[in-house]
Amino acid sequence: MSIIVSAPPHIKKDTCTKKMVCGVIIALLPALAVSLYLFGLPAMAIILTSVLAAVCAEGAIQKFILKKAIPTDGSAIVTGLLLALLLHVNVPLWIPLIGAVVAIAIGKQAFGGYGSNIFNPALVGWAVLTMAWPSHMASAGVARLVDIPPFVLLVGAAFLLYMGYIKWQIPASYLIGVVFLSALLTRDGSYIFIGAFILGVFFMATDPITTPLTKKGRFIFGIGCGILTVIYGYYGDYAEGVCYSILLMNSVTPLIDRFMKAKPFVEG
Amino acid sequence: MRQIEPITKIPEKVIIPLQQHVGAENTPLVSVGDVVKIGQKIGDGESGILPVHSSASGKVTAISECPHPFYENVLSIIIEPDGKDAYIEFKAEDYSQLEREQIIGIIKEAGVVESGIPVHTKLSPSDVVILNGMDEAPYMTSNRALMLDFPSEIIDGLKILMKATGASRGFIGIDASDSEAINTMNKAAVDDLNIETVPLKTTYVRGMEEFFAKAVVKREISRGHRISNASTMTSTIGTARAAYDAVCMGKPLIETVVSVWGVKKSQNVQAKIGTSLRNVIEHCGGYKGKPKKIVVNGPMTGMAQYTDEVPVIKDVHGILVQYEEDATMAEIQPCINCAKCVDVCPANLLPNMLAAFANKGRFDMCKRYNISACVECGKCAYVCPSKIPIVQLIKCAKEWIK
Ligand code: SF4
Ligand code: SF4
Repeated sequence: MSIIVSAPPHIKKDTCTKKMVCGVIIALLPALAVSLYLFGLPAMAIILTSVLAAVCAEGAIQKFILKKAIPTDGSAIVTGLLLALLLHVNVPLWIPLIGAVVAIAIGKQAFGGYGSNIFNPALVGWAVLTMAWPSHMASAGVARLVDIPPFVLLVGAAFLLYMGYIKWQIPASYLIGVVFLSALLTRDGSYIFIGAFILGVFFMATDPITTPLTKKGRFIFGIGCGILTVIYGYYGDYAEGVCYSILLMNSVTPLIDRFMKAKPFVEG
Repeated sequence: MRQIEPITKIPEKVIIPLQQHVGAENTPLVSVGDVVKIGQKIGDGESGILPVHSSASGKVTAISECPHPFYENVLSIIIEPDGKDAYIEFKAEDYSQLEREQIIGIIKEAGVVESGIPVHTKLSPSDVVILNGMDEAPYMTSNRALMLDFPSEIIDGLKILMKATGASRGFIGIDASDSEAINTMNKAAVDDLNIETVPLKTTYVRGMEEFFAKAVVKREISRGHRISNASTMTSTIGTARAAYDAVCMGKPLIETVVSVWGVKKSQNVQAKIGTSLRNVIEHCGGYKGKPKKIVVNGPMTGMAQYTDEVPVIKDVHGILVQYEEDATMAEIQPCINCAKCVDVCPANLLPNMLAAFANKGRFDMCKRYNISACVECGKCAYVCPSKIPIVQLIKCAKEWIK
């Protein structure tokens, strides 16, 4: 009889990282569809360029530079999609191309690849583009791909929450933080609820890798994002505020986790 | 309908390990060629050691090292049953007439053990006794089966444990969704005002007594009952039954209820200590195909066996057979920091950090992250989408730290 001996547990839940990545892509589909409907071919070109560039960059770096197997987890697709959604409809196609390559190369692989990056790769790509080519990245009056009715994004967000693919504490506290602070500043908060904000709250601030592990830490992260978003948005552009505040909170995530460790149930 | 089916077929051989608890091995009280009866004490030793008894009548054919479900080979007494089923005389007692020390003595002599710990050593003075009636779902249902089949015996067993610890109140924690078990136990305890069932939501697994006790105590306090959370004694349904058998029937622990899953006829059986897993599996209709993995006790914390010739011992409550399709090993991916393990950890730890530190050999950091508080429940590794063998890494690190 050939039986195997292995360590417990002997059953595993059937969620795997691939499924979680697929889940995020599925959750983005309604938003992508509406964006394509509203903005037509230019949106299509930007999305395709961004995704293809991200996937190719990831594959090339893994294969030719790191000499490892080409990853199949699909996380590069998510990076490409998120980046594309943050761009203006009228950008030249080299913008998503460079942005996606930077996102993967600097935002992800430079930190050691999937699971080791500190910043959300898509946001790294976005930030580099914003600083290098502000004229393309801040065209007033031109819509971003994500400037769609926010409820479309909420459908996807609801799916992610329902499947348990994201840490719910983050969007919850992020929203509370924003609503509270904008109420405090006695400004009407309704204009905050734009596509980019919902995308940030549910799809970017919830990226598992770059957000806190500890339960308390997740609340702090969300509230921190909320406060920074409102403050930045008060002086500048809200959509940019969302992106910068998430990046900033990404950078303090390890610190938050270090200090927010829960007490063990039984002292050993 | 009866939940538990006793295995009546007499096996061709019975292997009784001389060590069925954590601690030193017993010394055999019989020698090769001796004829023993059912219930006869065949192994004992210094104090702190738990005696073992024969579960068969027949001739001792060998005393040698044999495979054991939890340890490596252990000195065991091998008996060839003669089919006569001769019993020693069991001395039944009325526990209401007994002193605390007498009860503890009887329980010790009967060799009652629970997760490796001799039960008599747990019977220190307490205010409350809590029985854990939760099963490690979905495959382990022996606790439930015992409650449905022997409700009054379990209530008596609980009363015996209460008397042995001097406790004034007793609780039985049962899965809140299992109304059948709750009703059965409520009915059995209807005359005992100091015994109560407690419906609980979460499943508590082996080795988590503290969590379980805390949940029960918390509920009592929230209902306005005054209960000092200082001294509680937590035990299992199986132990209550064994205590009943020991005191009220005078019968030592020679049988155990086993949930058998992944066989032709999955069911709960009552197996004699010393019967091989193969005998038990054959009783349940045999394998469904070519077995790939045989696990003793639950899927979350149980031990995979290398042969089905290992005997059922006192602490065996489940056998799970897995086949090619369910025993596949998933590819391990990097940790994605998703915190699923953090959310399920009953000990409030950061399992992924512990696993990462253990993997890097940073045992100092493991200690700083309270590795010793891990109860090895397996929940973290169960939920991990990256299929990281977290518990295995933690166990290795613990070994190193020792
Ligand atoms: S096995 Fe995992 S989930 Fe269970 S206590 Fe240990 S670290 Fe926590
Ligand atoms: S569940 Fe697995 S992948 Fe998720 S944080 Fe824990 S160890 Fe990492």
